[in-house]
Amino acid sequence: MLFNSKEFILLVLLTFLIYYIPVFASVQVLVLIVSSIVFYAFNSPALLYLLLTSILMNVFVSYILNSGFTSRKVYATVGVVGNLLILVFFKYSPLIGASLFPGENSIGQFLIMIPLPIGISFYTFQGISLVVDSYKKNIAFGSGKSSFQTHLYKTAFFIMFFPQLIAGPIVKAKSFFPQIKTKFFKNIELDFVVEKVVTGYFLKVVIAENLASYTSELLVPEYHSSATLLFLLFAYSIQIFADFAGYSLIAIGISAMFGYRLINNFNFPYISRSFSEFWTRWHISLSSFLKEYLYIPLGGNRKGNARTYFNLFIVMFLGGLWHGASWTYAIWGCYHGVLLGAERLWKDVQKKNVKEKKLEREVVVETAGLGFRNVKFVKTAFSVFIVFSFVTAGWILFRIPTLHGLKIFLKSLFSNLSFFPILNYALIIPIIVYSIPVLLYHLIYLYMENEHESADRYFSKIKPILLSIMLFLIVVSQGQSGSFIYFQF
Amino acid sequence: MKKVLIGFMAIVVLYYLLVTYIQNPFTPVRTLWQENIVVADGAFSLDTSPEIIIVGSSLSFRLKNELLPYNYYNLALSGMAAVDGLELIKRFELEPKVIIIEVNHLERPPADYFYENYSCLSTNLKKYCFLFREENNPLTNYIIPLVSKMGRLLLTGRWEIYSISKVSKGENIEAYKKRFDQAVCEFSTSPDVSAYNKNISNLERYVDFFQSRGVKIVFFEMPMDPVLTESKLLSVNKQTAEDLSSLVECENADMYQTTDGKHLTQGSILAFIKVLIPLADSLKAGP
Repeated sequence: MLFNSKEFILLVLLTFLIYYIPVFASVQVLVLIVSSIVFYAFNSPALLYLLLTSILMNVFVSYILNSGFTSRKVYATVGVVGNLLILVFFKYSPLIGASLFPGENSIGQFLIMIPLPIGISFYTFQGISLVVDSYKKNIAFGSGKSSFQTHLYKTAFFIMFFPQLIAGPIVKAKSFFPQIKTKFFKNIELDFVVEKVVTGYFLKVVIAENLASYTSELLVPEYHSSATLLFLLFAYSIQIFADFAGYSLIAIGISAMFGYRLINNFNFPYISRSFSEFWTRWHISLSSFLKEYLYIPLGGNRKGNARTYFNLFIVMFLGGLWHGASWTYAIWGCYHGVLLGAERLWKDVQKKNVKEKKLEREVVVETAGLGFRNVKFVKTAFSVFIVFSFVTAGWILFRIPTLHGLKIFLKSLFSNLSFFPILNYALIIPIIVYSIPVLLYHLIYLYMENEHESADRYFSKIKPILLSIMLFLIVVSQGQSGSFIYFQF
Repeated sequence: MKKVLIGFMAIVVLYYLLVTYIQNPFTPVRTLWQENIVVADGAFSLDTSPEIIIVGSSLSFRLKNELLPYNYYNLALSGMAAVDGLELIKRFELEPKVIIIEVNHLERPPADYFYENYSCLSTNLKKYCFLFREENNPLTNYIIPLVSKMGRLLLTGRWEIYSISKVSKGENIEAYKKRFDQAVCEFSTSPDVSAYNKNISNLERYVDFFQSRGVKIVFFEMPMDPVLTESKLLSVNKQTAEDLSSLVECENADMYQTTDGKHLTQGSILAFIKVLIPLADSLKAGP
């Protein structure tokens, strides 16, 4: 069921009505579990078996980990490996089949035919979070006779909670479990809900879906000039942000309707001044998951320089592969791993000469006759531009996830230099129009970051007007309805 | 929340006044998808059901409704197939006397995702609140054309490079050649038998449905470049059409001009309409 479908809106409204009826106060979690089952099984009920299997496995492992059994480490390992096996088997079998058993090989054919269950990358990661947090005793499930029942109840809810089931944000067990309690209608933060849901739907149905009609041209690069292709890539960068940030905002808003706060998944990523900053602003729930459950256990930056670079690279490689069973996603991960490594190296070199640099900069500022603030602004703008350009270049691996397609794209990009027209304005103008809100969205934030008080006051006045305009455009300017890009992951 | 709702209502009222009382000075800029939605929205917004409906792909999509008589409606959809138009006729409960089906792209599968725009709720909403129809999309009607106009002032000269007229005059031979080669490749490939049969049996169900309601079904061939007229795919499609009902083949295909081998130029569209209308009228009058 898609967030932008009528069925979903109906499901949310019905669940909301039942959820807050006082009679059902004691079974609120059950109401949400039932809705989550309907949500997940709506298009393909068969996939529910795998989700339930995954839940049951996590219930048993985390129950054992919380029940004072010995050999906790063994059970925790079994739980993590079990989740990873489910993920690897269902997500990567086709890639393994195509890579290791090419041609008519029957094993290869079998592996290729295994379907990809929707949301598997997200719910298996939440399962891992549950097992690890249980092992570390970061969560409490309750005690006494009913503990297994409570445990089952809470765990099923944690993994299935429908706003975040299919495409995140990936919720950590330790931040979700303390929130499970009876909720009251009077406690709903309505302004927060409206702001998140309206902004989310606006980003998805007005920006991302309309841009999708234009960025599909990236699939036929041979018909476009190099300049047009670069512009289309820029549009895709805006589209993928609007699509995924839109989804996350809707998920956050709908969760808040039911009294649950999810982690903010995007924090204006396109104003990042460095690649490491980008990864603290883009898909925050995944980056923080990888940092906490992979990078730090691998040793993080505590085991010397060489090991730090290796850790960064391996985390980004696996993070890339998490996005999809295709080598282009692995390349994308490596690309970001290399960027992060290069940036770290550059910073290390800079740190060594920090005193000399400082003196040098002062001399330059004085000689140029510019204020320090201006130099800082130019430097920030340049950094933002560089980071945005490299990140945008990487997105091509998402739009064209085959090596053959990528080859054609690169060939066209470097050979269509003289092909007229230099820019196809029929594509460019709508792209500019649909991109402006996303750019403004980032710039307003940047402005608010610097001019905090006055901006806050001003923005709180115009916010209802902006939300009204967005709501109007959601109704009258929807683009071609499509599923969310991150659903495929 | 209250402020947002009040603001929303105010914008709706203002926009209603704008659309109703002020003539749009711009030409809308739409994608093919949006053009398709406009065509489909127009079908259920009609006061009376048209007597003759045309369904097909982007080839017949160019027979614009503005160029057709009042009792005709062209429900051909760009990038889609005849079955999509037939599904819409059924869904909107239109009652034509004759349905003319373009034969050139019979092999295409139905575009189910398109109908999601036409659930009972959204169709009724659009039917009674014209503001919500695609033809009144403020971004395509006002904002994009306005920005285009501003851009045109800045970038005069390179603007019309992709227009049909210039391509047909041969000013962009390279682009034409690429598209023509693609069309030749598309029409010279034999369709996958099982997929083709599946699509045709789907089409057959629609033909039976409408014929059982007394609607006359006629297949017609849109003119294309003579190279494509002789293609494998078109021959198979024509044979299928003859098996299902009657077929009107295109005569003198070489007298029409195309922009890419398969889509007619504006001039040729007008010429073809002059041939098509009397033919369709005679079908309506016939037994």
